[in-house]
Amino acid sequence: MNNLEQKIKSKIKKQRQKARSIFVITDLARDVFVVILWIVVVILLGATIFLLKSTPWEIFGLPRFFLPALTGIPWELIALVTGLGLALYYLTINIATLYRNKGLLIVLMLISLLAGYFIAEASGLNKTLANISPVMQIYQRQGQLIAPKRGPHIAGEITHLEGNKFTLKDPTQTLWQVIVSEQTRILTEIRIGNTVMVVGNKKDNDIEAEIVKPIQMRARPFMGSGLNGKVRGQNHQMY
Amino acid sequence: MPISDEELAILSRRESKYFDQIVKRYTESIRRYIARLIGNWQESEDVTQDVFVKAFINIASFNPKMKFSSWLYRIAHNESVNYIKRNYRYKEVEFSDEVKNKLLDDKTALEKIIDKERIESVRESLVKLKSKDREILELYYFEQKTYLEISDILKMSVNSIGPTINRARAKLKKI
Repeated sequence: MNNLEQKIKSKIKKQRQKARSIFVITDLARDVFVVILWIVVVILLGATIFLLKSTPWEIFGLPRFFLPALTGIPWELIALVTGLGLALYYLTINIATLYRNKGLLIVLMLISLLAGYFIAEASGLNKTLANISPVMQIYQRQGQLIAPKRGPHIAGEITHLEGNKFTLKDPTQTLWQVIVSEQTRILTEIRIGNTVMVVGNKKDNDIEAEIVKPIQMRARPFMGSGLNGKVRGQNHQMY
Repeated sequence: MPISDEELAILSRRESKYFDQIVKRYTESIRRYIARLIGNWQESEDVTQDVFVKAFINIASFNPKMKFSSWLYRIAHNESVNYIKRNYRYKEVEFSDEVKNKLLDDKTALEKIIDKERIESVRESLVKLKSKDREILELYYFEQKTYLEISDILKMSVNSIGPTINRARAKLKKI
């Protein structure tokens, strides 16, 4: 027996083995954590794609709007999803089946992420998420970017509510029928007596609302040139 | 019929005397492997002791579906990487003459890499490779590990082992 073997054996005699149960519990906890993390990443990625789809990309093309425009992108969610995604990857590559077949792991991840997104879209989970803080805050932040400072839009008081429509009376006493859909960003409470600004598409006296946001009537209750076709056009200036 | 490593590992969970046989079987090869990674024959003794102590403490975590040697080499890899991080934080590992001599003695493995006429220069070049490239060549050629075993030791995809060996060999030829 050589000297090194002797040293190792004498060192080992002073040690105690860890119980098998510790490793079983640790492995189980890791596997459960991986599954939960995987689900969280899928859901958050769905919400991120949802917000990216509703990002007002056109504002990036406008001069001097770069910094405000950055707030239109859901950076926080992108960073969170990236961080959690990397954590998930590094946790899963400790599982033998997965690190031996990294290609399979990556394909599995991509399939689950895409499937998760489409399931979330179909089931309405993304829209539900959009109404939950902090996703809602980002969603509303994007809405603020789209809302115009000048240009075609209408402001007034809500006088009547019915189903997905409400009536808006502007300062010239004209009544507008505002149609709200699932795509409408509602940044304020829709209630009779409230003063709101509506951005959307005009059809006669009907407006298909893209955004409904609060406004202070004492400033300039009716601004811009009125609703002419699609509001978010080439000449539309935003802040 | 001799007891397999995997059986010894399972028996070691109950009686530590079986672990002594593991120590006997692997001390030399693990020390050689560590010395090649850290580039220091003297220091490799301490790291080797740490590897076996760690293996003994955590023997219950060994999965018998894996090869025991892969599991043990994985611990040796981790301990060597930790040693290198502690001691060679901002520089590449430099080989002592003692390690170089021990490394250069292993002819059979090197003969597989390149023809005999160039073997001397290859021996010198191998120690100049980056530790990642050197390690995979050492596991494949010196330790005679299969792709699956290398995958378990380095936690790499099995499919990427072949191309990585080829790339490391190409770098070796350039040196």
